[in-house]
Amino acid sequence: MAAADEAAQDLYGFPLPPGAAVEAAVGAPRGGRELPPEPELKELVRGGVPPPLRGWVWTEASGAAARRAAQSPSYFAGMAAAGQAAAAPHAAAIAADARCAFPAHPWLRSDEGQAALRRVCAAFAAHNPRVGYTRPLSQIVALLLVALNRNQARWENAFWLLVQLVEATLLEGTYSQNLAGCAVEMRALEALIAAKLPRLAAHMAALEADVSLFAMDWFLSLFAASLPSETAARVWDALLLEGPKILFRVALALLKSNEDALLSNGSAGELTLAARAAAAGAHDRDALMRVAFEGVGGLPMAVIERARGQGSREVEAEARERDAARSGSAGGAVSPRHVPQQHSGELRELRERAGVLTAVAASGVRKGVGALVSAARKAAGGGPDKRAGGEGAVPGALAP
Amino acid sequence: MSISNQSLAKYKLVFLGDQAVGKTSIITRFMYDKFDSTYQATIGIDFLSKTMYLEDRTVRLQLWDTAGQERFRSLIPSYIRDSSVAVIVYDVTNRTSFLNVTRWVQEVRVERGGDVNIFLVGNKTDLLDKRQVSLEESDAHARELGVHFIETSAKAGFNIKALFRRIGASLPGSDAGRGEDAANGANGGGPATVQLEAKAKPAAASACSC
Repeated sequence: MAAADEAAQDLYGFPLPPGAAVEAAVGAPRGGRELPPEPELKELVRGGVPPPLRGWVWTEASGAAARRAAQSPSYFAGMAAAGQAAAAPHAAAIAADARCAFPAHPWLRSDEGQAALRRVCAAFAAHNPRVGYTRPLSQIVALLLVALNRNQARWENAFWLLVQLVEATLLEGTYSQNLAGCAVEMRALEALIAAKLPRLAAHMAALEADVSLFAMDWFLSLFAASLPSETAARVWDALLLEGPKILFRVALALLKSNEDALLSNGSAGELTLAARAAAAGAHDRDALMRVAFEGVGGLPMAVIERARGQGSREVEAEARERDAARSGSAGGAVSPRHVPQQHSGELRELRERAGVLTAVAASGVRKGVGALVSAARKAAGGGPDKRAGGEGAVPGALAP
Repeated sequence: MSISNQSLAKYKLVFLGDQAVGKTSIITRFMYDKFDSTYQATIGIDFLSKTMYLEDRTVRLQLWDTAGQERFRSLIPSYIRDSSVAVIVYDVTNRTSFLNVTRWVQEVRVERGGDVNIFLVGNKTDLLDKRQVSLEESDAHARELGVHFIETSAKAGFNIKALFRRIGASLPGSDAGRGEDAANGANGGGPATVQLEAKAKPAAASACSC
């Protein structure tokens, strides 16, 4: 009942408006160290994992425990040291962002919280140099740390959960150098809004309100900074087992539950603020998740994959257009010597990624729940995690 | 409140520039006249709006704040790229952020051609002993690029009002003029613009596909 007495904070120590319900802490973890079988597990996570069990269920169900078991016990410490070396490429950005990840949270603001944030983010940047570091990662790490009880022994689990999220759970390229994966998810969400919420889609089109205006941080920070923390943790319960379809379900649920308010806005900016406010005010976790799982209706992965396929083709075409426009304007008044980085490499990468994404979408490569659970099982038995790869994992880094 | 704003001419402003140069700080100083060194970091895009009283009319400014990190660039939706004013911010104590200004300007011109007012803003002038970019150099560079230029300190509150006064004066009077004030606003913005720089000229009006 830790936080129940302090009316101003939620379970995880984030400030809370008066009257919002606080998650009741449930007793100690069960003795058993085996997750229930898949159908039951899915039902359980959709109903919400009791907060004290989150560290265990998240790491097991996501496959993060398997990843951890496949590496040497000193792997995290080694990566953290490498990532925090003075010359490490992202050290300065990580330190700067750590300060503003959640400035209102007392522990995250404390020396220990700052050290934890920096350590986990730096370890990840060293582990996966292709992704390196980008701002939303620190927000994810922040919520992971507080949900894992801030305990120093669990910082390492926050690291492996982040690795699993970026390299296996989320769409490949979500955090790439041009966030191409996120761009594809935005297109896919746009298509799903058109299918599920046609009135809102028409309204957004009339206002020229691009879905990424409000949904980009939902998909990059996984709602960590958008929803109240306990609601975000509840979303992660399902996300870590079932994958990014949960992000679509929750996004659609937020929009559906607030459709009238969103339809009454007269500009893209107001609509953006209304969508953000809807997320920030979603303290009733049960109500939101009920809409996400029931109110939104069927959302088979095949539908999402089709939307992604279309989306990646659009992203690719736009990149080509922009590339052409850029080369068309080259040689103008803008002197090339001032241009610090070449666009062409970036765009080539975007195209490559889009190509990969199309292939991914076509083959429906996203692993099912069964694979997740069996991988977790395998890990419990000491087997290697075969689902390595994902986004730019360092060759060899995942090998035992 | 949206009812009373309904009739005002609305203008889109987009804030661009490298990470941590102070885009959010400039907006916060303008909106609330305060400064805070620990903002919640901008992920993607943020939106704020404010009514501004110009000499001859009242307008509604729609401010879009963007994340400065390189990898967010291609995600900035065309809705925002399509702005009346682009404010490109650099940090006078960070030479790299200044060098990247050229690329930001190019980015905007590719999207909008000459149909946009670009303001170059050198922020953090309060950090006197850390300055890496001189006023003269920036001024020369702004002339070369054909954009407006001003230095500010969001922390000290220096020149923030002046920046927005200049922006207000540069707004096209009739552009978004559905409002009642559209009639007297026609071309009202042009002459009032501080002539630090000649009117923005697109980069060699070559093949712009926008």
